[in-house]
Amino acid sequence: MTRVRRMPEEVGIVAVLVLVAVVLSLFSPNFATLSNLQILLLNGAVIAFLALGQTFVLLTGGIDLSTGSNVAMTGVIAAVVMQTGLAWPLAALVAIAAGSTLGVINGVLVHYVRLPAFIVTFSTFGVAASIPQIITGASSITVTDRGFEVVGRGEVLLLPMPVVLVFVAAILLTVVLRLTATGVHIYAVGGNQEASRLAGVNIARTTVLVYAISGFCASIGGLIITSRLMVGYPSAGSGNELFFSIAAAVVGGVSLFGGIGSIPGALLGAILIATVSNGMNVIGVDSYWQPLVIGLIILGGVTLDTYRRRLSLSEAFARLGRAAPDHAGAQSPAPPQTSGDGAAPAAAGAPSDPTMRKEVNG
Amino acid sequence: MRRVTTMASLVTVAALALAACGSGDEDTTEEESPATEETSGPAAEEPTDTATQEAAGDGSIPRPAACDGDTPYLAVALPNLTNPYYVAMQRGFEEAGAAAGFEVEVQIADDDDANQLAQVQAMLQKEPCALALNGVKSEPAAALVKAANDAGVPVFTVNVIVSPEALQAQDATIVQYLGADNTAGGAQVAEQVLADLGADAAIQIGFITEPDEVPVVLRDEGFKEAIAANPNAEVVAEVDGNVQPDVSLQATTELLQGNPDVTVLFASTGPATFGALQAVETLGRTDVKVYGFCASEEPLTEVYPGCVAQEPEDYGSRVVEQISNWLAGETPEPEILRPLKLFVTGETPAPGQVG
Repeated sequence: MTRVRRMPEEVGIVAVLVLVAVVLSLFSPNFATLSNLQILLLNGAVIAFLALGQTFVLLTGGIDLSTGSNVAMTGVIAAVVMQTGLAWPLAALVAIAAGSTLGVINGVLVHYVRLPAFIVTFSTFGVAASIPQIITGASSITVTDRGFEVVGRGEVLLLPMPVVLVFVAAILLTVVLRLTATGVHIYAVGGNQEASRLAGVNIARTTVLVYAISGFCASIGGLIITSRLMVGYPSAGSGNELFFSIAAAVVGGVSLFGGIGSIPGALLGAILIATVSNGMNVIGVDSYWQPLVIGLIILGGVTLDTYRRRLSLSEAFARLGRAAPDHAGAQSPAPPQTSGDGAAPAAAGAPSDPTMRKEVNG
Repeated sequence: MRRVTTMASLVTVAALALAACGSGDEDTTEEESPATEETSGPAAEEPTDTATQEAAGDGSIPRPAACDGDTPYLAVALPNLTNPYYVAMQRGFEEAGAAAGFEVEVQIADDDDANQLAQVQAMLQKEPCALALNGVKSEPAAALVKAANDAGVPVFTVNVIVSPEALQAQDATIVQYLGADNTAGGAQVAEQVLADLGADAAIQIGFITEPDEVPVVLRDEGFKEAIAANPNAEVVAEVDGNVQPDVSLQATTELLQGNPDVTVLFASTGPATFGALQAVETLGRTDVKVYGFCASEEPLTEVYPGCVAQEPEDYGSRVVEQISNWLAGETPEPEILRPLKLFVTGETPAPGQVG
């Protein structure tokens, strides 16, 4: 099998990340320090987790809007369970089970009831936001089990524990996506659901699995926030987390229409967003300007990346000896649905062509 | 498809039933709001005629007919219940209201101005004797006051000041504002900083604040004015903690990264104080002291040597008292500013005494 890829998918986003980091370090000598790198990654950990989970859902062409609320729900559940006297690892497992269950419910509703993912997860967003409020009467629950601090405040070799958890999860999820049949199925479902069904992919299992993974990742986010504050806080995750996590995945090259994207890309997207939001507080940008700057950087990053993709795609087509259309995706011989990169749906639609698939997610 | 429809209907009915059960044991009547909201548009005008016709000659304050019923209906609009502050205030309203013979309904806006407007319009439909309003944000709250004015219902505001400019622009009026003396509160904290660290100590100060809310801005101003007594003290950085502990935690870590010489943090809300304390602990910065408006029930320590607290439960019951006194014939003061309570190392604010 030959690999005809000129450069990795993630090069564009890395370039944007480096550019942003250089600009920020010009503004403040305190930005490019080891301790700030720790803080930056630590503060971005929850968004990174949500982005990892969201990537799986986006790859199948779905979306999960319930993750922010899931963070609040699982964080409060963990605190409440610990309050009953159970040891923290058990409480964490209960919270993870609850978060994953919410994901399974999302997946079941999307697949079996055939509702749009947007509506299903918007509804469960409301449900998951209410549950912690109902359980606690909207007050905060203090965690007294000091052992639980290890999740949010522990360190492994100078790296904060949440960052370690993100990297471990990213590696595991990358393995799932790239080296297992399940991973191929996930891309296939997002590329062309009907074709993959005919090819024998179990759509139900795949759909439920991706939402469960998203719920699982959100529950880890909930544990991290609760552990960092040592308080179960019913409005945790209600801020920018959901929006930033979707933006992180998309900035990292994950298509909103399914079939395209990778875990390292999403992770880099999350790091970019963490860098920008950290950098603005470090250099002291007025809070009124911060959403504007973040918005523009996301816009600029995606534009640059799309431009780069279009170029490399035309070249790829040229190599394959076909006519290279100016506007690749939509007019390419691959199934439609996506813009900017037609290769993944092609791979998904015809999983028997490993060259094409490797080109995208290899 | 029919099975799906049936299932969906069953789920909907079950959800409504659950919601009804949930509200049964509280005084809030949230389940009524969706129904009334639908009609709130055109019908909102109706109570105006009856209310203004019956407005008694008690100065310029209208006196709705509902005030002379057996249990006058008192509408209360609060921004959220995630801040323990409002949980305490709600308790103050409900307990004092029940004791004074009011039927109290508290609606929670979940920090959404539009939502609060809809809730207030829905409550105005039910012809309250008075509206006690803690707006979500200062400027948008003027529209709520206007809606109540049009319905002939007097408005007693508490805690969040409704912007005077916005009120004037909409030709709306309030009867009274009752709340903490925020400017004095900020100054109290600054004086404590000077007392602890010395009147001429060189101090670099970082703020964890919320620049969108007038009371918080007043606290910052009070602090800045009082700290100016020390020419060597300087506020070098301000971050937005959004009155949320998790946001404040992150923003504080970033503030300290960007300004390593900051040794005093002034957190101008309770949740910001809590987040700042966690941040200082996370970073292991033993040289940084956190001052501010008290975090809920957080004991004061070496790291956290001083805070001032409001008493929201007390404010809730005082507003009820003011309304009762007005009904009994007294003329309400236009502004009642309550002093804040100072806590220092070794003390712990009681439940409800938060910043």
